[in-house]
Amino acid sequence: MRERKPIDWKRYVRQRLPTLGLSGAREQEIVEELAQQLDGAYSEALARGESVAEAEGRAAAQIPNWASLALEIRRAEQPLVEKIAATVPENWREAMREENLRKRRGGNMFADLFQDVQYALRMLRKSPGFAALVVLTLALGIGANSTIFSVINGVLLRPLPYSEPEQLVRVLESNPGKGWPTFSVSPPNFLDWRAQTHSFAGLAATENNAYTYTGGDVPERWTGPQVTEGFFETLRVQPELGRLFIPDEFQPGKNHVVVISDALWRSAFAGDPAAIGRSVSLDGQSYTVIGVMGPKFRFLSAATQVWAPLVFTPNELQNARGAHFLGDIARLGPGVSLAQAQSEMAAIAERLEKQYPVSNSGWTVAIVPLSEGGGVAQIRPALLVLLGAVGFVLLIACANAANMLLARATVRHREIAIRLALGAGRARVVRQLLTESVVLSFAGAALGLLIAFWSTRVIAALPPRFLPRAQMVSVDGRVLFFTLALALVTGILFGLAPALTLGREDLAGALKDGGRAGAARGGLRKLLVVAEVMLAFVLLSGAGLLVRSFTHLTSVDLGLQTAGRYAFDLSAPQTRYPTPQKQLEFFSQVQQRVAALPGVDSVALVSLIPISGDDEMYEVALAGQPSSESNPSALSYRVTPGFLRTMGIRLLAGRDFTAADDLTAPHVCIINDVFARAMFPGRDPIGQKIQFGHQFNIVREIVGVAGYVNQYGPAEEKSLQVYEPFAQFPRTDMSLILRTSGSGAGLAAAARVAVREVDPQQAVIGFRSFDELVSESVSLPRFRTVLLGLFAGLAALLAAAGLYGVMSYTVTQQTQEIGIRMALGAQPSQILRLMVSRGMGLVAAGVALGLAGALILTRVMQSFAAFLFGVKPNDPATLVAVTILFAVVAATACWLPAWRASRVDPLVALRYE
Amino acid sequence: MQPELKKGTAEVLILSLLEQRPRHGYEIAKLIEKRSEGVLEFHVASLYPMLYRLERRGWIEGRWLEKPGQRRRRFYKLTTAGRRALPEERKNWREFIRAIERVAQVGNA
Repeated sequence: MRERKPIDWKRYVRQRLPTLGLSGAREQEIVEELAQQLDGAYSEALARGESVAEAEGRAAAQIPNWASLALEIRRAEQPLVEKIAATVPENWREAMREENLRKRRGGNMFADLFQDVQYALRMLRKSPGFAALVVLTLALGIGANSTIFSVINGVLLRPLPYSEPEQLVRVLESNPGKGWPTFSVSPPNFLDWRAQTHSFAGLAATENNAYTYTGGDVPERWTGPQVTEGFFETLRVQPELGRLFIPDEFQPGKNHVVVISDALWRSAFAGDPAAIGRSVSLDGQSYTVIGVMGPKFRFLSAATQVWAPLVFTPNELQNARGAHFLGDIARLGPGVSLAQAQSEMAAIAERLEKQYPVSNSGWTVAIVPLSEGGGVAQIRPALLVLLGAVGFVLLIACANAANMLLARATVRHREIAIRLALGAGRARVVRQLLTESVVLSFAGAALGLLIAFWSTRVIAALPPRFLPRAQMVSVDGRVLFFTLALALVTGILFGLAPALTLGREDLAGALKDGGRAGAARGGLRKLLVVAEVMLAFVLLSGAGLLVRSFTHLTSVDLGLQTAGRYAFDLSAPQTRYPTPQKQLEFFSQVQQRVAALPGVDSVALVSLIPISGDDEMYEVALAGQPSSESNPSALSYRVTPGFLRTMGIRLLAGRDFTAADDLTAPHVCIINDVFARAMFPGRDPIGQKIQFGHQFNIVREIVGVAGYVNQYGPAEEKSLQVYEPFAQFPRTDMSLILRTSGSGAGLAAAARVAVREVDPQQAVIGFRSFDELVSESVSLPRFRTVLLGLFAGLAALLAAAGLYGVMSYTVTQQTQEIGIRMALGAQPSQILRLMVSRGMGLVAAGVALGLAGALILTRVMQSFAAFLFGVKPNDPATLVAVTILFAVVAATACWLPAWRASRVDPLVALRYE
Repeated sequence: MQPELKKGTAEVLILSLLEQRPRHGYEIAKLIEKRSEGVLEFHVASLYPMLYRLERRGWIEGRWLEKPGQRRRRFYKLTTAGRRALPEERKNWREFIRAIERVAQVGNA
């Protein structure tokens, strides 16, 4: 046996180990250490008595793969940064180049900012799906806010388009005792005010009016107020063409002049400047056009077409102190405050009350800023609540965006670690991350502005009953500024938490493993989801309450039938029909012709259309009692026989009017059940006699009792109502009601023909269905219900998306745990239950908090704006319904990721990193 | 088992072995093999990179020592930082074991 030469293990190792790329000395050390290891194994084997060949095999088996050993050693040995550089995937290199560039450039705030933005854009371009999702989420939130702010800006904030608009007020009568905070003004009171007050630089009255214009192809209705001297001067406006009224034109007989609106000038005169001086026929009388207002001028209503001088009749001046029908406009004198004017006017009203106790007792004066007019005061609470709602939506959108950033942090945190390793300050990194989120929020704001542009255009087209001053709503500089500020705040809000968590990243930890340092982030994400669920729940509860209120409103018994009923207005102008008999004849002929139209079942005339929201009220008293302001008031309807039947109004007792109740017969009337209960408690009202407003001295006998009919809308307080035969009290302006069993299509045109056949000079005005009238009467509740519902739905959707995101993330994070459980025998159904229950835990926490929030907030909402009708703020049905709805949505959002989890292959899961 | 787990295991093992006294690489390999009764078989391919990593991290420190009559060997000893880190590593390890046990019980229930 020949002695074998001992093996040179160092050489053995050196021959096999690939170059490590380390310093020569260090490589030598490693080779020596490894050689000793092999030598140890070899010697030990020999000592055990194994053959040389066997011992060699033992040593060789110590290192089965030299290449992978070299790789591992290289990884363990190389300095951090070089090591990273060697393994950095292509998409991280950018971060390094960036950081190096930055260092070379040195600190300059603006250059840094510019670089940050550029870098952010590059990063976002690289993950377009993520960026799109965040931008879309934010766009919805910001768009909703910009839209509602545009509305608030246009309706509440934007100054009125007059010079020094804050001085403009309306001086109105007020009767707190009757529950009328503001009321129209009577002409004698107005003239006394104007004679006695020193508070105003201008005070002018207006009386709404409408004319039938017969100069065109077909008769047209022109509407617009008559105004007293000083109206335009008080507003400080000038005409675009021609001139305004001169004092002489307020003399009786000289007042047949009109100023017209820009819109009317364009439609009736094709914008011809020669319209000035033209003579037009209104209600059969000749008026001269003296001026055209500018396109932007409007007073309270954009629909105003024509202004004419208002001259009071002697009768109005002497006997009409109790007749309230004027509006007015005033400008506070220089240095006079609203409160000073109010106290002066209150003193004047008190004097008038003493002077004219019969007509003025209980009446005082209320001064209202013009900016509060036209329903603005009523809409304000709704708008503020909506602003709160979209604020919630934006918060939820922020939480979602933050959640998405946190999820991405898992991907980003190696990149951040590299930048920290390369010497970037933590503050610098946080700033970079914030820049990214602000860039995202600005992109969201840009898209949100598009949404706002579009939606404000829709809102601006809403009729004034829906939203006062709607035409003022647009995206202007202020909205733009609001949106930009919002975008900045939003970007910081949703970016801050993720940026801080990332900036605090543990360097070594981040590089050590692929992203398991996410436990803290997971907690934050869950917190965000709980907050989202809470906010969305509060919004949904509020919306739910409004929806319930709205269904209550629309199911209120209006006291009449609307299906197949239509109405239009009709005049028999005094100039063409000078006597009551002639007026009656005209209306009766029209009624007969319309009744003969195919498909028309019945026709009636009425002076005041029920549910229209218009009113005509007079004092009412038992026969023999004196006229007094303390007498109750009743709505007045003059009707033809068959009106109650045509309208589907219940006749509870007595009889309807007949053709025999005419000018020669004793005066009769029908009262409603509210009247009967109030004035004749426990007595039969039939045969009782009353006196009533417009011709108070005439005693009427009650011949029937009708059911209560809604006049203003379903939420109104019930008022007294009196019906009288039109034949006994004729008048020039009536409405025609018709009932059809057909579709109603073509009825308007047919009615127009029928009216023209009777008198080609008269127009069919405002043909509308009763369904439209009812729908209009609930337009404000519908406005806020629809919008709040929309925002609540959006909020719920965003919250569900957030929940889904967190659940998906959690499932991914727990894939290993799921794998272990399944490997140990857990059933997919158990996994499903476990994962869903984890998600639902978050939902339950959010809902519990939301429930508390909803109880508080809806109470606040109700106290500051009486939105709820027939529902209490803590309505259990609504809260339960919202909870169930939420549970279903949330369960779906949890179920999908959980289902995926339950389908995981245990082998894959265990290997999952 | 995932690499993370194995890495953690080995690190705790190495640190524990060095807690008592400095040892050289071959000795460490033998001890792990012996104490785990062969269940944990440790390739040099894993041990040495691990040692270098721990050294880079500053938890252990290697030094060549020449004893009389023997060739020089590289002995590793626990640094102050390593000594400080060990309890935490042990705790993490125990938690992991406990978690596995818990899961195993739930899974069987």
